[in-house]
Amino acid sequence: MSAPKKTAKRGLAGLMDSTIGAKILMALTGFVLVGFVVQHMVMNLQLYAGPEALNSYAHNLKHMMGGGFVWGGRAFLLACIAIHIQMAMKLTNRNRDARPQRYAAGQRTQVTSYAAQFMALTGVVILLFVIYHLLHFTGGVVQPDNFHVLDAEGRHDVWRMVVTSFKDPATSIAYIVANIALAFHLSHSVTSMFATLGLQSGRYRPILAKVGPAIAAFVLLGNLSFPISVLAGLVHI
Amino acid sequence: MSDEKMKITLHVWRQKGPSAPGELKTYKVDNVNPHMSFLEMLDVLNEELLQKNEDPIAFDHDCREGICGMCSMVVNGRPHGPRKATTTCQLHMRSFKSGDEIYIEPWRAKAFPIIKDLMVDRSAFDRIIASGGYVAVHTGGAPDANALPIGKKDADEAFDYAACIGCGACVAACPNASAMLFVGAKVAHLGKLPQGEVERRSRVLNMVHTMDTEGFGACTNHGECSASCPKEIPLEAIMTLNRDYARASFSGDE
Repeated sequence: MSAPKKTAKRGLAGLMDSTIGAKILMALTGFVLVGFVVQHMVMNLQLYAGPEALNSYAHNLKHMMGGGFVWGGRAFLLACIAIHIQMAMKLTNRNRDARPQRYAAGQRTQVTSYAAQFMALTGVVILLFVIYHLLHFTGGVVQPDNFHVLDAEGRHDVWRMVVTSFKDPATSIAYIVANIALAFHLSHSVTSMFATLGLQSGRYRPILAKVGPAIAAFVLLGNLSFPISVLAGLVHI
Repeated sequence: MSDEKMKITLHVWRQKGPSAPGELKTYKVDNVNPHMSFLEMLDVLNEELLQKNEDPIAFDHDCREGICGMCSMVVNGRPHGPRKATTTCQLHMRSFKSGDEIYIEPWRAKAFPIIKDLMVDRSAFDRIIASGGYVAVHTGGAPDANALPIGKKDADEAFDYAACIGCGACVAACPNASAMLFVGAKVAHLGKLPQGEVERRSRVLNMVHTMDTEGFGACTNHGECSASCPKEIPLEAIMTLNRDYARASFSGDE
């Protein structure tokens, strides 16, 4: 038997052709997205500081660089989401094709987690939620009555919008369910991201193995606290 | 441990050829000695089948001492069966109880087409090796031991990765039928040693390229491969592979 004649392409073209390259793209875009998710949760904690803090933060953010910062950020995040999803679909299809005939008597897994096994499903739930969330708090399409409210200084009353919305149990439950899906997704993906980038080796491995679940729990606790506090009456108008 | 004979019910994947349809067929094996290896139990069944003029079950085996990597079957949903770090040939019937039902299937992956029954064609692994899993050196006579100093830690790690016997259990266990642990073991093994360092970059690029063209899946970091590996190749092999691949892609060297 002779060695295969075709040799690998070098550089970026070869990388993008390979499964590892696709995974590196998923990891890099995932890094941006998880970074966004973490700062989004942390900034939302201003809900507890009252209307003035949250509304002025939102107002300033929206008008930073004449609105350019927000729009630039949105475009960048959208590009990351698009690449992340495209690579996910490419790899998922490939992985499905790699075992055309499944085990008739089933496979007995030993170490994997539900989070790892349901990445595609939780990913779809997150995508649907992001669309809903944007229509809700950014576009004002869902519940427009809650959205079009101004505070005493004529700014968009983000604080009142959030609190009024979460008073509705159905809305809160949608946010809670989506955030549980997000937590599952993050608990596997953040650690996986380090593995794919080749950073999860040697003495960092035990630490990085806990980073995913830790970030997932951090984001989950923060994000769940908002609807729960409103429902419990801890934050009220 | 008792020497009492066991009665086992087997559900074995029977498939006449690569494109023939297959199915699980049920066989009863009485008189199973608990000290028999799993393959010896299949030998006994095959002798019975031959006496009845039936087609014996085709399965791969060679050394029967756990070092060749030929025996390949998924026993009750796990490659090489229930015991950790044990090939099928080193699995003994005492790991089961009399009256047990055991399901036996071949490795399932597009890159490992079934030849017959439990035998699969694993030459995809050979082609991956041929595309870079070697060192191109003039070997000459056997060099003196320790003529080339290698640190103890590197030597130990290289040896651990070199323990891979290429059986394909990693692919069989992977939910994505990925060969990353196998390729990672070879890349990490050779990359740890000065002899392998020379071709480190072209090796990883070419081996990953062949791995992809053979139709294996991609890694999603489940860890099932390492958990099923009879030689316990650590999952770090995959991290090393990812790192080497990214580095080599952007390197200007040959």
